[in-house]
Amino acid sequence: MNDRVRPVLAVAVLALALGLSLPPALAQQSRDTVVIGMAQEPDCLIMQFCQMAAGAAVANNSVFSGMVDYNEKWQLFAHTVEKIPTLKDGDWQLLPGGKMRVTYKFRRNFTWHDGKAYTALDASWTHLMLRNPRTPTLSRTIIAKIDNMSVPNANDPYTLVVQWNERYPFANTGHVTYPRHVLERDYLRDPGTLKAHKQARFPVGNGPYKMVEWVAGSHITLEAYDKYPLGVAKIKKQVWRFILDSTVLQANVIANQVDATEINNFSIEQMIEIERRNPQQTAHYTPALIWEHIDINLDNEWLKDKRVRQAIAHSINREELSQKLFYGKQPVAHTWLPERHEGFNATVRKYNYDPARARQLLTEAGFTPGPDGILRDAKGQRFELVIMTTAGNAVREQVQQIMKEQMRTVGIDLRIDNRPAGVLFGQTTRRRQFPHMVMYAWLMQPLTLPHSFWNTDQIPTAQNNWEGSNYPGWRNAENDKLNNDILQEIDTAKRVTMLKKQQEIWAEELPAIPLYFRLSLTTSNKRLSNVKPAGLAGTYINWNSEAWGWQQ
Amino acid sequence: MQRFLVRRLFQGVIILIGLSMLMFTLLVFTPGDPVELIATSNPDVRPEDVALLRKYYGLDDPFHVRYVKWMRSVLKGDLGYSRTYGTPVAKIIVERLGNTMTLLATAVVLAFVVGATAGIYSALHQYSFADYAVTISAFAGHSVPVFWQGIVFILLFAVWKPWAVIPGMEWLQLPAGGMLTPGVAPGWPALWDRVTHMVLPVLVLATFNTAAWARYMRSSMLEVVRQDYVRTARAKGNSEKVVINRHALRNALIPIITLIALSVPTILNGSVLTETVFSWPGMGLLLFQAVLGHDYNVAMAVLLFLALMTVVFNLLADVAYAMVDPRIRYE
Repeated sequence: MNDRVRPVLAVAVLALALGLSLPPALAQQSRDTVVIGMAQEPDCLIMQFCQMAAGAAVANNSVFSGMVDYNEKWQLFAHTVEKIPTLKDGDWQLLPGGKMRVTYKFRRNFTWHDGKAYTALDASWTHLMLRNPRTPTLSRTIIAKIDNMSVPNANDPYTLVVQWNERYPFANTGHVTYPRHVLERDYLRDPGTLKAHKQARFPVGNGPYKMVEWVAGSHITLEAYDKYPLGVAKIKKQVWRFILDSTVLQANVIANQVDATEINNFSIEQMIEIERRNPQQTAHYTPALIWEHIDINLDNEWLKDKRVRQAIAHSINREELSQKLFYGKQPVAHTWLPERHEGFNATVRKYNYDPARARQLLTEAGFTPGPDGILRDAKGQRFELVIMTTAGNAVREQVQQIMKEQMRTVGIDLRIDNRPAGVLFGQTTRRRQFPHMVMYAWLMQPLTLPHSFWNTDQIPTAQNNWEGSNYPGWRNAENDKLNNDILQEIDTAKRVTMLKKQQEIWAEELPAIPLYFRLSLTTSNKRLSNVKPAGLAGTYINWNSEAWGWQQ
Repeated sequence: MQRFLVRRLFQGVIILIGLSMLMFTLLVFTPGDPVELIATSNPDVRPEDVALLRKYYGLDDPFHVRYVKWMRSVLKGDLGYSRTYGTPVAKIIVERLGNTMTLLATAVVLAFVVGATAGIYSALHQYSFADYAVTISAFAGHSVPVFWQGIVFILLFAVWKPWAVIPGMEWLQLPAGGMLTPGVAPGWPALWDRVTHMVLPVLVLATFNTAAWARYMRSSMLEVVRQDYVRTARAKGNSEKVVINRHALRNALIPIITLIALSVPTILNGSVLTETVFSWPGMGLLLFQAVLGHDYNVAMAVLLFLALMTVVFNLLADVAYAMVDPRIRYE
């Protein structure tokens, strides 16, 4: 080698070796910073205009504090208001004609991050802004139930009165509030431009952390708000890194380059691998409200018969699926509501793996064995069912393969015909374009009620412009009556009784095959204290991040 | 040459218009309308909300009207608004373009330096161990999928770190993605932090072309060293260094220059996968996110940019060829 080149190369190699030492930078940041990795980048941070859960994770729990929020036990707590209104205390009143009045008292020490007072006037203005048809609000379902929100006493801007047009059992769970002084001028100019408003990407919030920067495609940095009335966050900076590929995100967790993850798209195998490879990380398996199931098209001649649907349920070994694919961590579902939901019914009819019973039910339904081992209906037609799911989802595709084998033993030929997620959810389910069965998950909340999923008027049709989420097309008068009563029932005990009854009917009729309840999978560094994942959509790992701290 | 340039520019415009129509059609008719997806993921979204959102995002017009509206605003220099980010598309593109160009330029330079050097060395030492090593490495580099290579590099340099078994070497690692470490002090620490973040994506982006260019350089050099004028140069008594550098190398580089110009759009397209794997906030990652999120304006702008780059660099390749090789004349 040339004598002049050699020293240059030596210096370059030395510089590279020294320079690649990243840990000092990471160690330095870990003292006053927590890095949270996500497999999504938010579209914006005004959640009434945006759809991505990543935005809700950053906005709902770090940048904003809600009037009423959930904790890790799925209990509501008064956050920016003094108390949760109740019927007993009289601040939730039932009025004649099915109307209601709910009164909130705002805490007086909350301020927006620009120092301006946070009051009930912000909440009442936000309601007006969101209900305006020219504002790009995603959903006005709850807004439409409200007649008005007002601040009745000009001298008391901390009292909010909400007049409801109809009964709604969760009327005391608070309302979204945005800073009127930041948005009003542009709103008055043109409500249609609000999604492009600076507030959507750089919001002035009232939560424990305030915005510092959003480097598109890379990260969002938040800083502890020093006037947060419930206690200034212990960790000075919160960084949300966007790493879209879950394998790469997993590598970052193992390499300690992120301290916690949320919306990570991890599989259970990946979580186990993280625990195995890096003992400094905790993998949180939190029971959630994610119901994996198979919708059945009840307009199909074969599947109209509930004995056929019950036979399908008996032919799938869901316990084995849960053990083999999820190491027993994801519990088998027997109804559509999970154990942690207030309305869960443990005594519904269960369909354990029983191929003999499945064959018997199919014989009763008029099916007879064919020469190839597959059943034939009364017309001699081969019993072949099509199942669809999201193409490329490895877990669902594995479940399909196992189901195919198991159902064949009872004489059902299962044909797999998958679609990309955009097609499956954009068209196939919404327009009921699945001939027999479709496998996917519903992400629910404690506020979720059966009406939108199971009521007859929620069957999407061309006539109702494909409104509703009753994709199986289940029609049942008793179920409909219960659904409508549940929707209006304020008394929790009565509502729970009705929910349990509704599940009994549901489990008997079986418009869908319940598979299992998915877990909410998150990770956090063991040195990070007070991390308490809730497992709820809308209540993310950082719901109490002001209480997080680094243990020495 | 001028006539040739005018003709090629005109052809380029026609190609771009045709491509824009094709891309717009493909994007719009990709199943899964963005508003339908919102409605499906949220059972509380009512049909009247869906109708308002469709109107708000301009999705209620027929396909051809939407294309004409889009084209008209593009011709006025307005790329529209991003449905996802609520900001002007041009602003997003400008933010991301610099990041992609940094990766691209570094990868091209690295691939050229390493590829050309390896190719020349290989040609001048034909059938040696080094020649076989370069050939095998080139085939391997050409065959490895970018996505797989990226993940393996991350695992190797950020997770497994096989050198960590050597006492005192545990600290040596590379970032597992991203463009910078948030919170790093500005100035030199930030610059160095950026460089360390670039190492793996640049290596991955450069691998394919390093391999390809090494092979081309080798065969080009082998062809040139057998030419009469190289033999003449040797016969004149020139040293081997002068013969190779002044006579052989200059001529062997001519096809490589064309090849580099033609490869730039390929590398740019390759950045979609590389940037996605390494979470590098460039145009490739932006395209990936835009297609997933049905953000038509952003996806169209990035695709159009990629098409424009392909047309421009094809033209540049032709021009460069004529400029470096006096035997070429375009009529």
